[in-house]
Amino acid sequence: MKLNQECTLLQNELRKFAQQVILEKVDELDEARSLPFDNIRQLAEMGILGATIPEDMGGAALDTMSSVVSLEEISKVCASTALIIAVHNAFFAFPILKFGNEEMKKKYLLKATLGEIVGGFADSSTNKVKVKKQDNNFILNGTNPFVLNAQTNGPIVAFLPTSQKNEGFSAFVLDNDIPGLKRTGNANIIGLKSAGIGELIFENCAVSQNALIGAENQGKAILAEVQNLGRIFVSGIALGIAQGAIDNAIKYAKERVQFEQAIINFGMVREKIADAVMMIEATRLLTYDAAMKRDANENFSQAASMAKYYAGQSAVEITTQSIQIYGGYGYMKDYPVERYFRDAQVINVICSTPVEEKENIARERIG
Amino acid sequence: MEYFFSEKEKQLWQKAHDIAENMVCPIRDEFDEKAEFPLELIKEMGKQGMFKIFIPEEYGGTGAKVMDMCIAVEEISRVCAGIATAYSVGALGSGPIVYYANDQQKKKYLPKIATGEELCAFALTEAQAGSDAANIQTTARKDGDYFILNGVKQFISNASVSDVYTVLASTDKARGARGISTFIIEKDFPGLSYGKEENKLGIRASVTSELVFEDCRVPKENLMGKEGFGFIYTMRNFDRARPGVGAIALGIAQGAYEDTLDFLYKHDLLSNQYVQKKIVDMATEIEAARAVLYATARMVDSGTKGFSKESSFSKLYPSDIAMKVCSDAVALMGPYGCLREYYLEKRLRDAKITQIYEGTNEIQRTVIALELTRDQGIKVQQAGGK
Repeated sequence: MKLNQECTLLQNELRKFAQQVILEKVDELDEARSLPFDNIRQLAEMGILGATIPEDMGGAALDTMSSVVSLEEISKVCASTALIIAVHNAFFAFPILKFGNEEMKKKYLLKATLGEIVGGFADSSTNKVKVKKQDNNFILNGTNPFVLNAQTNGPIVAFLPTSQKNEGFSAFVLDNDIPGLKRTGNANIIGLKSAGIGELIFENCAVSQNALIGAENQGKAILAEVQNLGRIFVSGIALGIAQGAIDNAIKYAKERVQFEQAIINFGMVREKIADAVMMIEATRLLTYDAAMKRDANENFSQAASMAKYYAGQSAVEITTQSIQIYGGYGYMKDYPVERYFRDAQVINVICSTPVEEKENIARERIG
Repeated sequence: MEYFFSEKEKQLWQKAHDIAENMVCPIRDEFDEKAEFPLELIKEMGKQGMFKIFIPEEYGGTGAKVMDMCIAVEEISRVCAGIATAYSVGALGSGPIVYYANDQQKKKYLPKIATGEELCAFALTEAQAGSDAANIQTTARKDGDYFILNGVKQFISNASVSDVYTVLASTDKARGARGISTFIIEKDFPGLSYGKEENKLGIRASVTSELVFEDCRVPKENLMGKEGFGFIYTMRNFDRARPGVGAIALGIAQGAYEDTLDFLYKHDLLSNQYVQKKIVDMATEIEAARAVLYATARMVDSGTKGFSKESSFSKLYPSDIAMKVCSDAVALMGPYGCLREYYLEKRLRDAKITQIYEGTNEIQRTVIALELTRDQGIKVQQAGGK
């Protein structure tokens, strides 16, 4: 698939940045479960943190295609960095831009573009957090266990159950310094250890009505849009993980000699490479197709779910087989593929699980 | 499914089950996280007779039945595959002594291995000899009443905690695989030390490190069997040991399945047919894996000769199923499946090694392909012509 010139330039720039800057510390950060703040700062300077934000608000106003290509390039080297960017752009900035009021946009979007804040995302819509209305405030209690960008210490777009009678939930933007909101350390998670996934704990946390994005109990439609865009971005990350893993494995297989020849000569290795190449190409086509549909203002909901399902499952399979190509070495933390494998597991279930994606796809088709 | 365990087998299962639930389960997270060998537990398992099942009766064991190994290892692995690996390395290490050592050597080493007083390990792999196992560079040079060993063994399970090792070294490099011999090496032999300890994705309770030989002096009575037969002994020992890896994989799959079913029930997700289909496929594949494993174990224990193909089946299929079940389980449990506290992520990390160690699944497929074509009277040139 031929990318336009703008997109190609961005791709080259990020490929270089990933290789020259991100690569150096990626394993160290993973091992320490530390966030890649240096990467984020430099990506902000390159405009990547304002990808979804219009130019008149200081953003880079990239189309979906360019965002996906950027995430793919970053994720080939560090999926955690890519996820932080994707969450910030799709799950945080986008709903504020599309559904927030003017005051909110002014308050958050310029800072988001500059990387002064890196926003997070919490989905508590399924009643993990209890909400009580008191005057003009909502009082929150409970724990949300799987918050994206919890540790970037920015404000968080949260979907919270505001209706006692299960009539719906609402979208909020929660400032990082509101009393009663606590962020725990990194979730002890298999992969994406540098992405700052964590918990939010609400203890009598009072959130003003002014923090509502859109109308009360109208969160469902907002969440659906956020997730649709999120699926495309996450597919781009999965694509990068799969590509990065197999690239490493191919390089290794060319160097590793067993039975007096490079193992790349063996049919069982070549078959894995062929499978990976096919799956990656199919993922790329599905993901780019979903992105282009969105950029053309077409309905892209089914395309996004297909991309996400296929990208996630392929990333899991390809990273598993990449370890296999390395053999015993692939199981050791001295080599990079085990990290790709761990990251792929998490990417596969972000936004929604493969089971949920299949249901979305069937529902879209059946009507 | 009913596999008609004997009374003795039922008792062994019960013992393994009690150990797994009461002793392994409480410590499994801690030892995975710290990547530490559970020495105290392994010693206690020895006291309870768990190593006796690897050793023949005349040397203090209970019969060295492959079926017994499968029953015990599967049940421990259902709770923790890292600890199951730490335990079952004893079978891999003692196997060559059981089958290829002379009576004097057996008397000297096996009774202590049977009680768990001494732990044993097996050392074949080297940096340049992974799948190409015959390519080992470690040498054993004759010097009077001794062999002098030099070389570095890599990725050796339990290396730093064992007392006795069966080690392969080349006594005649010119003869390639037919110049390899097996030695029984004690940890106190001068010139033996431990090198780099590996930081692994999974089975972290099983420590893995280098075993370094620097002019290590080994008495010539510690040569096992005939000089130049080491590689053959090893391949035959692998034929008996591979079901052990199948059992580890099966235990992982079974544990993941049980946890997932429990999770789905608690989250009220079992009425969903997408979910039902996945769960049913898991259960079916696990049962198929168990069937091939137990059938292989019974076949080996029957005393039949030649079971390389079946032995490879019994490792290949359960290990592929373990990976599939764990991956599918993550897809079902969603983000929870990725969090340490739900334990599934550890099973997934552990499962990956079962496709790799004791011969990658590609090597298993090569072994099976060779046997299948041989069965049909077809001669096929194998990789590397070896």
